[in-house]
Amino acid sequence: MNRLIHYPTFASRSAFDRLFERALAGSPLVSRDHPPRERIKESDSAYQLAIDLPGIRKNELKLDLKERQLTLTVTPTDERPFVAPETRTWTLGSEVDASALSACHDLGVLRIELPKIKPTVNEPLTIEIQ
Amino acid sequence: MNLTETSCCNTGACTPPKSETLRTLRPVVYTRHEESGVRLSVALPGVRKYDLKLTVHDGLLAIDASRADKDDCVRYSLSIKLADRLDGGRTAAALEDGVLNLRIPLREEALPQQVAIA
Repeated sequence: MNRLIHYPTFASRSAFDRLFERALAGSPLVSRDHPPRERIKESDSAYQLAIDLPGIRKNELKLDLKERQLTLTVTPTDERPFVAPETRTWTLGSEVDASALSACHDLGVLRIELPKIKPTVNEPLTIEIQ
Repeated sequence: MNLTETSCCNTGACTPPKSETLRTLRPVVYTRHEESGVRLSVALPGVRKYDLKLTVHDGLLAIDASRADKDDCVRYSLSIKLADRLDGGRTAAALEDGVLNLRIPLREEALPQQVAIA
């Protein structure tokens, strides 16, 4: 069953930390419009990150992953309501499988799927005695 | 231009999962005044066209919408009193990328008139 959790996989856990993280990443501390909502949900196999980005088109979004730093860059192609240049960075936790991220954009919401690393199965093993 | 925002909150349209609580939010609105009328942009991320109800009655424009992601039960509600010179009955609306764009024209009698000089 899905449950709502808050930033389980990222280095910065408090709102205060996130404020500085965004400041260092170069994004405005106070958005000109309204800060898009971010939500993280966890299932047995993955985390789902949903970010509200009303008015932003798919071709204005860019997601990069480098050294477990996931960066979202918004580059507006023209001036219109709710849209402003922005960069956000998240640090992926060790339980996230960084090689299997996926993302989709629909209805002004960006959803990023962060699969968990599958635990190795401890199968019974009989050791031969020589 | 006299746009007055009035009430918003009235829960009950959507049944949330037991573990979540329904939240009714007032969406963010941008207003632009033009010579022929008013343009409104309303942020409604996660809302599908058929989950959006838009009504104009007695000069009151009402927006009521629920998000498509049902496990995050959020409802958007907004009522705007339109100025008398606006013709709410001829409102044009389009929903794109989570933004509802409305164009409300001026009534014919409120449009600028050229006065001939005798």
